[in-house]
Parts: sequence; C-alpha cells; structure tokens
Amino acid sequence: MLEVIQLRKRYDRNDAQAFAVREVSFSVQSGEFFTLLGPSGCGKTTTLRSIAGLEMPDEGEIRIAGETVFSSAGGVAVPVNRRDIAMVFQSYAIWPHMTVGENVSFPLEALGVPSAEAARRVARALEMVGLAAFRDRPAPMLSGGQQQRVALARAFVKEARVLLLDEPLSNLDAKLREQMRVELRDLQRRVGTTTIYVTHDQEEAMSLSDRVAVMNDGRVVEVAAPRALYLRPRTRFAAQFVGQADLLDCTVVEMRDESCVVDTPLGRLRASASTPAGMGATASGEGATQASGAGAASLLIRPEHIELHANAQSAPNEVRGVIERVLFSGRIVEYVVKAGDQRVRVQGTSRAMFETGQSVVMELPPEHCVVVSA
Amino acid sequence: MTPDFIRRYLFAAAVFSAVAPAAHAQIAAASLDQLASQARTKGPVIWYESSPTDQADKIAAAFAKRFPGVQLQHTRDAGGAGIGARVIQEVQGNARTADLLTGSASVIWQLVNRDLVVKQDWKAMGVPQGVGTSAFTIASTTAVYVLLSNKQQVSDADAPKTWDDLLNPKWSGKVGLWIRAEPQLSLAAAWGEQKTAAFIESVNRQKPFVFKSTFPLAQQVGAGEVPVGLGLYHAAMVPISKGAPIRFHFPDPVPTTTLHSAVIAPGKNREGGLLLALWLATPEGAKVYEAATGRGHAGVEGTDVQKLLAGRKLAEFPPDKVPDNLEMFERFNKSIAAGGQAVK
Amino acid sequence: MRLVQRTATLTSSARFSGWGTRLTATAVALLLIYLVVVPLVLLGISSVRPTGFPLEPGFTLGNFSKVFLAGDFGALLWTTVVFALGSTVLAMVLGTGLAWLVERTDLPGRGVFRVLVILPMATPPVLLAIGWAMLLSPRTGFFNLLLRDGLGLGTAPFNVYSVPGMIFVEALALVPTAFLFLSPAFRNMDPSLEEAALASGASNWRLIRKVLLPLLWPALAACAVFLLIVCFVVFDIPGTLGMPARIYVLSTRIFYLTADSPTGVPLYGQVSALGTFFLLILAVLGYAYFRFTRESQRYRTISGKGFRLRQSPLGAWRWPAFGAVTLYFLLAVVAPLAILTWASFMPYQTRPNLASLSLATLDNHLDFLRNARLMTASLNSLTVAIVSATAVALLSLVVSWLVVRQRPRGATLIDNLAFTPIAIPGVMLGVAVVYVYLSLDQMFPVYGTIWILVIAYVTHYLSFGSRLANGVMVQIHPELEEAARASGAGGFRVLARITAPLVWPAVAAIWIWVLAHAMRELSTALMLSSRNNTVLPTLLWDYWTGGEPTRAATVGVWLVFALACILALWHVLSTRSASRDA
Repeated sequence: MLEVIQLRKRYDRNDAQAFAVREVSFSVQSGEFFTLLGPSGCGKTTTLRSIAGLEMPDEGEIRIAGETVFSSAGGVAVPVNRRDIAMVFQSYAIWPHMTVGENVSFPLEALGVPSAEAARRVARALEMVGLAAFRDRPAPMLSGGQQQRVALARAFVKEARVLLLDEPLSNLDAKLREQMRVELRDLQRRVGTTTIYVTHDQEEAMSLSDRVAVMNDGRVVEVAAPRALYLRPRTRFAAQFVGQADLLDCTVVEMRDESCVVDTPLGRLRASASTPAGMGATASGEGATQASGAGAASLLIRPEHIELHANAQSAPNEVRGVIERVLFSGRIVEYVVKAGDQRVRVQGTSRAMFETGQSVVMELPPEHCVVVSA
Repeated sequence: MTPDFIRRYLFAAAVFSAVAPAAHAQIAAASLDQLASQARTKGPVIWYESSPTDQADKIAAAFAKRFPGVQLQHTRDAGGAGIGARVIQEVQGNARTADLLTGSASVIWQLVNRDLVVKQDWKAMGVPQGVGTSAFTIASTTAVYVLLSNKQQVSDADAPKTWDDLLNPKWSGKVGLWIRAEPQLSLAAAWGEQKTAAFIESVNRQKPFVFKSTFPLAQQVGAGEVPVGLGLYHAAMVPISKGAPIRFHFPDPVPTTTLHSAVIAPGKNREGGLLLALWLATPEGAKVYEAATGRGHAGVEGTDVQKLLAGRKLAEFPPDKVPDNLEMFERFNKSIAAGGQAVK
Repeated sequence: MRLVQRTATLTSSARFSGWGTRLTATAVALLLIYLVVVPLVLLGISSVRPTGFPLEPGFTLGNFSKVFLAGDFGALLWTTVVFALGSTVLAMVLGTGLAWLVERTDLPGRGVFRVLVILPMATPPVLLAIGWAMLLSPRTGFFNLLLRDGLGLGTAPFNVYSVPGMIFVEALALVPTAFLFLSPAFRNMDPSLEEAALASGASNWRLIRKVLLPLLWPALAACAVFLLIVCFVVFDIPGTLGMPARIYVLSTRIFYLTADSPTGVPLYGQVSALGTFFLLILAVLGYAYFRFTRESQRYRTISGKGFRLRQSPLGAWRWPAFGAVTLYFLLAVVAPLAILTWASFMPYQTRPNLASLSLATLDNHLDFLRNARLMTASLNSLTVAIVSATAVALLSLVVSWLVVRQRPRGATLIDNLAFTPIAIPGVMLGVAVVYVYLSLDQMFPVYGTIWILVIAYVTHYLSFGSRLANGVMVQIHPELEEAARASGAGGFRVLARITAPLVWPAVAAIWIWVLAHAMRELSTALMLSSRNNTVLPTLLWDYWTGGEPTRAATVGVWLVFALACILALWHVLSTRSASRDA
C-alpha cells in the first residue's frame, strides 16, 4: 500500500551534511499498523510529513496505493491536499471557531461530497469515536481526550487509503493514554486502514503495531514485529531503545545453527543465534546489520530474564556476583549485580528478594541471550 | 540657504526674463465684456486661490451675476507655497491647470521662472495706476499687519500702538508672533535690512510665542493666553466680529503683503482668467472679495481696507524684488525661529 | 530539538505551494511595487534635484548637505528622538495595560471601555492638541487654573507647551493605535500557558513578566517600531504644542520646507532628503525587529488544542483597577472631547468659566449642519474611509498570510514594501501620487477624484495593517492549516475557512483603525483636493483657515460622533455573531 524509497532530506539547503532523513526506505502492507519509533530528532516526524506531503524531501520516491506521489527523479510532487491520506496531528489541530460537526465534515466539504451523504458519514465517524452527542458542540468546549477523538473522527471520515498519526497520544494523561491506545487499535482493526504511526514511546509502539521501524539520526535502524524486536533485536540501538538492556561486549567464538558461543567479560556464554520457533518469519529487517561470525558485537540480555539464585544451579550461563544495589518499587525489584569488573542490571519480583552485599548466582538463559551488532 | 542656491535662482530668473516670452502672446486689449464673450466659449475659468470654499462660492456667485455664462471654478489650496507647486506639477503632467492663480509674489515668481505666466500690458487694459501691477502680475488683495492686544488684560493706555511699544519689558513672554517673517520682510522695505534685523532681535529678547499661522495667534490673543501680538487684520476680524475682546492698532509704517494674480499661460481659458483678475481690481469686484473673505484691496477706491489705511505709511517690496530678498527673508525666518529662550 | 526541526522544515514545506499561491504572491508583489516603489523612487529622485521637482533637470547632493549639515540638525534630531521615545514608551505602557485589563481580566465595564478607548482616534490630532492646549496652557488652561486656585499654588503647575507636554498628548493620541495592535494578540493567547505558570505558584505580576510579555513579544515589538516611526514623522501635535515654545522636531522642519519656504515653492528636495533619513531609521528599526522575533515559532499561541479565554481575576484589585481605568478615560478621552465640545459652543476661543457660559451659541453646529457641502463631504468621507479600510484589511490579510505562512520567494521583499510607506513624509507621498496619476490620467482618471485619496490612504495605512496582521498570524499554529490541507482543502479554502476566521479580530481592528484615520486625515486630503473630492476634514480646514477654530472644533466633535455610531453598530453586530460561537 505504501512504499517509501531512498528518502533523503537536508535540514538546510546550504548545509550539505545536516540531514534530517537519510536513506530511509520501507514498505507497508495494506491494513498494516506500522510505527516509526525513535528519539527526538531521529527523523520520524519528517518522514511522516513527507508521506503526507507537508514536507518536500530532497531525494527519493513515495508511492501510495501504487500511485507515485513523490519522485525526485521524475519531478513528481503531488500536493498534500490531493493525496489519499488522512492525518492526526500531535496538537489535534481542532479548529476553535467551528463546532465538532463542522470540524469533522470539513474534509468532505473540501472533497465536494454532497451534504446528505456528508451528514451520514459524519454521523458514522462520530459514532465510531463515541462522540455522536457532541456534534453541535463548539470545539473549544471539549476536553483533551474529546478533542483527540474529534481529530480521529475527522481523519476517518475521509476514508482515505493511508492514515498518518503524529504522536497523537503524547498530550494525554497516562490513564487516558492507555484507554485511547486500546480504542485506537480496535478502531484500526475494525476499519482496516493502513496506518503509519509516529511515537517516541516504545510501550505504545509495541502494543499498537504490527511492525515497528526503529529510527535514529535519520536512518531506519531496524524493522521488525514487536515481539521479534523485543526478544531478538539485531542492533544495539534498537535493543536499548525498546526496553531495558544489559549489553556486554562480546566476540563470537563458535557459530552453530541454533546457538553460538561468545566470549564476554562475564566469561564464555552460550547465546541464541537464530529466530526461535513461533516467532513468525517477519524478523528480517531492511537496513539492519547481521551479527557476523567474527565481527564486533554485543551480547544482549534483558534484566527481567536474568534469574538470581543464592547458589549455583548447574544451569548453563551461570555467573557469580555480589548485589551492589537494591531498588524496591513494589511490582518490580531492581538489582545491580557486580560480577568481576562488570555491573549487570537484574529485574526481579517481590517473590524472592536479595539484599545488598549478598553473594548471588546469575543465570542467563541462553535462549534470551542475543547477539546484536555493536 | 547658501549663496550657491540663490545664484542659481538669480541666474534662472535672468535667463528667463531675458528670453522674453514671445511664446505667450499677450491678450489683446479689450473691455471686460469683450473678454467675457471670449471667455464664455472656453469652458470654466479655473482659479487657484487660498480662501475657504464657502467664501469663494460667494465670489463665484457675484462673478456669475456680473458675467453671465462665464463659469468660475475655484480650487482652494492649502495656501502657502503649495499652490504654485500644484500648477507646476500639473503642467509637467500634461493635465489641465489653473487659468488664474492668486498668491504671494514669491509663488508667482517661481511660475514666471518656468515660463508659465502670461505677460500683460495692464495699462492698455485700463487698469488705474494705484492698483499695483508688474509685467506679469496684478494686485488682488492686501493682507495688513496690525498690533493686537486683549481688551480685558491690557488697558487702552498700555496697548501697543507703535513698533517700540512691542519692546516694552512688561510684555516679556507675552508677545505672539507669526513664525513666518512676512511682516518683517515688508517692514524692511521701509527700514532697510539692518534696522529690521536689529528689531527682530529685540523682539526675540521678549521671548515671544511663535505660531504657525496667524489665525490661532489672533484667537489666542482673544482667549487671553497671549495678551499682545503682531497679527493680520483680517485674521483678527473674525473673532472680533464674534465678540472677542481684541483691539488692534496700525503701527507706523504698516507692513502689508499683497497677493497678486497671474494669468497662467498653459491655461485653457486665459481670457477668463484675465477677466477675473481685472474684475477683482475694480471697485465692484474688490468689494465683493472683501465682503466674502474679510480681506480687501488697499489699492482700490471704496474698499474698507483702503479707507482704513488712507493716509498711513505702508511698507512692502514690489513683486519683482522677490529674488533679491530671498536670502534676507530666510535670515529673518531663522532669526525668529531660533530667537530667545523657549518659554517655560 | 523538535522545535528546531520544525522551523527548518517550515521554510521548505511552504515552497511546495501550488500555482495559486505563487500567482497571488506575484500579483500582490506587483501591486505593492506599484503602490510603494513608485513613491520611493520619486522620493529618491526628488532628493537629488536642485529644485526638488522630480521632473526638472539637474543633479545635486546639495539637498542632503543643506538638511544634514545645517547647524541645528543635531538639536532637531535629539529633540525628535526624545519625543519619539517618550511618546512610544508612554503609549505602550498605557496601551498594554489597557489591553490586558480589558481583554484578559474581569474588569467591570470592560466592554464599554473597549469601545471608549478607540474614540479619540476619530479626532484629527491637531484638534486634540488644541484641546489639550486649552486645558493645560500655562496661563489660561482650564485644568491649570483649577489646580492653581484649588491648591493655592502661585503659578499653574503644568505647561503643555513643552517636551513633556508634547509627549503626554502624543502618547494619548497613540494609545488607541497601541490598543488595537495589542488586543488581538492578548485575546489569542492560549491560557494553558498561563495556567501552567500560575500552577507553579507564580503571582499575577510574575505571570505578566515571565509568561505574557515574552509571548507577546512580536506584537509588542511590532507595535513599538510602528509607533516610533510615526512619532518621527508626525507633525500636528509637536507643531501645535512645540512651536510656540520654539521646540522643533524634524517634522517641524518638513512643515517649514513645505508650507513656509520663502522661495515660493515647497522645497521638495530637502523634504525628500529628510524622507530618506526616515527610511533609514525605519530600515534600522525593521532589522532590529526582524532579529528579535526570528524565532517566531516560540510565539505560537493559537494552537489547535482549542481553549476557553481565561480571565485573570483581579481580586482585591478589581475596583481600584476600575477606578484607575476610569480616571484614565476621564483624562484621555473625556477631557479633550469635552473641551472641544465646549469650544464648539463658543463663538471664539475662550477659556471655560462661568462668564463665558453666557456666550454659548448653537451657531457653529447649525452652520455646520446647514453647510451646503456637508452632504457631499460626508458621503465622500464615508466612501473613502470604508473603501480604504476594506482594501487595507484584505490586502494586509493576504500579505501577512504570504509573508508569515507561505513564504514564497520574495516574501521578505513584500513584507518590507508593505511596511515602508509609514516612513515617507505625507507631503512626498502626496507629490508622488499626484505625479503618477497625472501621467496616467488617460488610463486611470483618478486625479481630482476621491479615488486618488483612497490610493494614497491604502498605501499609507497598509503599514499598520500588515504589521498588525503579522503579529497575529505568527500566533496561529501552522498545524491548524496543515490539518486543513491534509483534509483535502486547497490554498484558498484554507485561507478563507481556517486562517481568516482565526485572524478575524486583527482584521476587524485594522478595519476600524483605517476607517478612523481615513475619516480624519487632513494634510493629504488637502494636497489632493479639488472640487470633487471634498471630505469632512477639508471642511474643518476651511473653518480653520477662515479663522474659525471653534467651528473647526465642531467638525471634530461630529467626526467623533460619527465614529462612535459606527463603532456602536460594529459592536452590536460582532456581539451577535460572537454569541453564536460562544
């Protein structure tokens, strides 16, 4: 449905080195919920706005539903108001001088839809977001959450092929955000629109998306489904971005089909080398570098996967250490364990707790040890 | 002003007056009615002059009664120097301009320099000697300067009646002056530059109030803000006629500023312009003008102002002396503008 | 980081504008070049002509040396700077305070005050000056005498014929402009920004200093620059109040060169030389403004989050504030208008006291109402004012939209062109307009008609309109327009349905301001006057030069009355449409 090819955009026409977006390419299937995830300044919003047509990239190609809407080589640049897209802005951009109904019907007005049908579509859109009773309410008299829904309704009413959302939930309070997340996902599944979502919140990205593209410094670092991204990332950056990560410098000593052996500051450990069964075949990402046999690499393990024992258990990948710090936050307990020169973060629950200074044995299950690029 | 500027103007004046405007043929001598019949065929007579429009309307009505079929169209300008500039611009822009212009000598002189004025033999037209003419101009109305005082604040005995009375220390900080040195310039015709300049300095030491126009000057004398002043007769008559407590005295000599009329060469109805100028210099026309504007013609028998000034010594330079006096005028202006301390 | 990114991309996103926008930009640029560049060129040419008439031959730098090397130029400049700074500062303080109180607090009676503050704008400044002279002149000023006799002082405490007097009266004359400039900006502020400050414990005072003022900075700066330039160029008040005390400013010099030149024609050459000096000052101030407000996205306050207008409760200060504002109005609006009304009932100028009461007469008013040309003059005035106001409002909206939002190539040029005319001395603008339309008389026969006045006014007042519109345009979040475009709307629909309604308060303010100024404008109307384009101020001038200032005061009173009626009508219409939205 959407193809983005070799997109490039400079900040400043005069500065050849400052790129907002460099060499971004990806494609999105019809009906997919695809998220661009990354820190501030990584280029995700610029990319989204380029797809919308609010920005003009310097190079590249963008195709929506097979139609080329932008091509630097071919000199094509379809203006934003003629692209088959709908957009929800971070600030909601609800027009304060109109009512809810007028806000939502505006796209239909612009498209020249006859008023009877427009009224019908507006009613349906408002129904979808649960604001049917608010049609005549003036826009300034809405709460943040309500404005958010009006923005959504306005986007849905257009029945466009591609829906673009620019951090739409970031201005809501935590509770509302969680609620809206669920609603949004349900809505999208029901309507089936191809959706491109931009956020810096990894939890949001994971819970909403079919696939996530992690971006940094203008590039796509890795693209994968949420589970694969979390459990089997391929790059250090992605690993750190989507969750807490313990990363150890390592060298690959031995490579086998299902596993490999690496040398780390904690000693020789066994790690997994391929996609575990049941993960799905969508773990291949464009632009990610493979962990090669003899190159620089890191070993990733998530703190919550490390098990702590008082004594050795004869399990693979056991490392001795001493608890240096304990942080009890109720649901989770965070430890910092010192093993040799290395400090490792471990997350546990209140089920079995340890104290500062205690000697412990860390168990790093090999299936949760992943080799990622440096 | 630098001498350089003056030299340029003098040179231009010399050049232009040497190149006698053969191009602007004089209008042949004729009686007023004969002129009127010629003017009738040429459309409206356009007259640039600075009286307020409702006053000019009265003049136009009387003119139309006297010369039926000749329509007078008055355009009021802000007065001052702008009136001549307007003619110049219109000529340069090839638009219709005035047939007759009534203004100060310096304004007309600028038009003469640019070859825009018709030379006229006034004697052949029957104009009597006393009216005041030059090769290009005929006098139309006289502004007369008087010494004003507020009746409530100044007793009859104390009221200034001579020039020296203005210098009386009791009027220190209480004298009103026009910022333009017109009366002083005219005074210099009788006194010479040195005596006039010294007089200006002496008045400056009185720390006078300066006004940008003579009308507010008269009004402020009437209001009592400025008990004493050197103002214009017809400007003072307006509040006086309404009951303001202002008295006036004619000093000796009485400075006057004559406004002259000049027929504009590129005008479309020059005959009409000439007709108007001549009519204003007749007793009938001059009285109409005086009744409408309050400003009479000192050179024409029967006008109020002529009666008021009968027997008095008048002071004014003839119009062709304008280029000679530019520098002096400028000096006088500067002196008034700068003189004395600002009043606190 | 995100904001910086957005700035950078703003410029390029707009370059992706359709042909419709580019066409508009070109058309507007051409129009502005025609309206503005031609007078500027004539100004430049005139300044190097020996006689000052642009079409007469010769080249000289003498005009410049005569103006700038004259012995008193330094003193003139100094006095002008002091006058300009003083008036601007005072007008800004009063205007900002009033705008805040009226727009953002629960001041009692603020609806009425909003209308009252604008009223003095209807009076020609020369009448305001005369009114204040009658109130505060050292010997016969009404207030002075009251204070002197009431407080038992030896002499009257105030003298209006002084630099502080000039500053005081000019500032009062400028407050309506400052208010109209600033009140749309105040109204458009997102209260969540203020609420955040208050929630952090800030007092109202701190709120003003740390949150409001910085956010209003572009509007404040634009207003200050505008007022400064106006003070450099304006003549009526410093002329009436300064000249009697021999206090001269640069515009006094221009008046002298124009009206009192001993040579018999205005010395346009020197006037133009001074005009280029004003333009230089304008360039400097404009550049400073540009530098200070470059980070314009910081000032984005109308976001799409929508808001209810927040009113700061004044609490204990409520009635003292009301008292202070009432006092201001009594002084600034009621007093001069009252004295002018008094004058209009007097046969000649005289100080208000019981003795003079016996002189009271209706003659002035009756004569005015019976004046044969009153009908024509009023109709002309209304036509000129309404057409000019509408043209300036529309043009300002389009110019501002192009400059702030679309930013096509040449946007800066358009912006500067729109602003420049304020620095051109009125007399030179008149001269330029005369020349242009004399030469174009075959194609555009406007010379001598009211339309030449409209052209001159539109050129001149566009400066105010574009500044005000810019100040408000930067407050609108671009996402509001982007959302419209993403919803499928093309350029003009976005402008008409989204931008224009949001900028509406500014457009309304521009309209009122231009209307009032066009109705009362005197010097250009005189320069361009002919039989067919008499306007009300021309009548006023007739009375004035006829030696009847009390009758001139009558016209001033009626002008205020006319504007008051129009404002009342306006207020009724706008509250009716506002209640629909509210």
